[in-house]
Amino acid sequence: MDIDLYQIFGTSTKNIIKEMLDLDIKGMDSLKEEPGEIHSMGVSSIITFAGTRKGRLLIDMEPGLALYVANTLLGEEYDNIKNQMVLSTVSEINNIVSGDAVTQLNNSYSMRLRLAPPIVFTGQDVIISIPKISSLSSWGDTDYGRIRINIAWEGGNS
Amino acid sequence: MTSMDIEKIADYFTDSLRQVLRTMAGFEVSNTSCDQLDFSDKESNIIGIMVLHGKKDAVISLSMEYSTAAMVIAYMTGILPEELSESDLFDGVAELVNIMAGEVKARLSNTPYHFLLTSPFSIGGTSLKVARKKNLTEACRHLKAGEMDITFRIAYI
Repeated sequence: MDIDLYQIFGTSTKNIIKEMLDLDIKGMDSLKEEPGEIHSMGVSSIITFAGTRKGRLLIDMEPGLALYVANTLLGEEYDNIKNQMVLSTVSEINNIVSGDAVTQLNNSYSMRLRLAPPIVFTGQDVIISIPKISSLSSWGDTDYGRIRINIAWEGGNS
Repeated sequence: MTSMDIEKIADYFTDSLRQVLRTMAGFEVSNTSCDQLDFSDKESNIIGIMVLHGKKDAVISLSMEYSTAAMVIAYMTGILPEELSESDLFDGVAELVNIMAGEVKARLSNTPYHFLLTSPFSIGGTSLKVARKKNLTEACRHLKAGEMDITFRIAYI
């Protein structure tokens, strides 16, 4: 079960991105511990969930990928990742991915997880720091830029 | 937490923060309501954030300049500001959110407004822009002591 708690988010990310955007994510097959702070690649979104355990998912994209996601889904031609609609689209992707993964976890393990709405942010040289909680990251590549997911559960994977 | 008047909830948190800053850092802080509620694109911001789970979920945040964070954390830890690393500031601001929320959680336990804490996190950088859902019920306070200016925000999500 323990590794499932992490891997399921990678599977959901690949499936949702493929379904919604017809975009393949290469990689995202392995998990690595993330040491300390996370340096954002461009646009990052965090969503938390709580039930029998508490955790959170961070989705981090390079600017090119964030723009492609927003432009493809919304049929627009945004060129600034600070545009509210671009940020909202990345946020919604996180919501859908997390909803899919959490539903599977609830069905399989009766975890009664409930999602809070995501928070999304961007900026220059953005650093995300989550003290006292270890996390695992998985990286993927697309034709439009890199994507990383970072998953953390309070209490680690025990 | 249920939908208690958000201004009243904001007062709980700012009272807690004032008490923490008084006892741990020796600052006497005054607080005022904010003129506008948007997260602004201030330069070199550092923001500590925590999501609270209750009957109604909420997100709380403390945002400040790096220099303010360094001053507050220096007084709290006894370490000189110039000796604090960026990582210390991130951890310190997240811990400040944690302490504040923990104190309010204790005060509201055994009431209909009780809530669960989640792990706080900090984000920092330049030209930082944070976006959430639009039209949220939210409240905001500025806490000031001399040149120190900390902005507290809470929103039902």
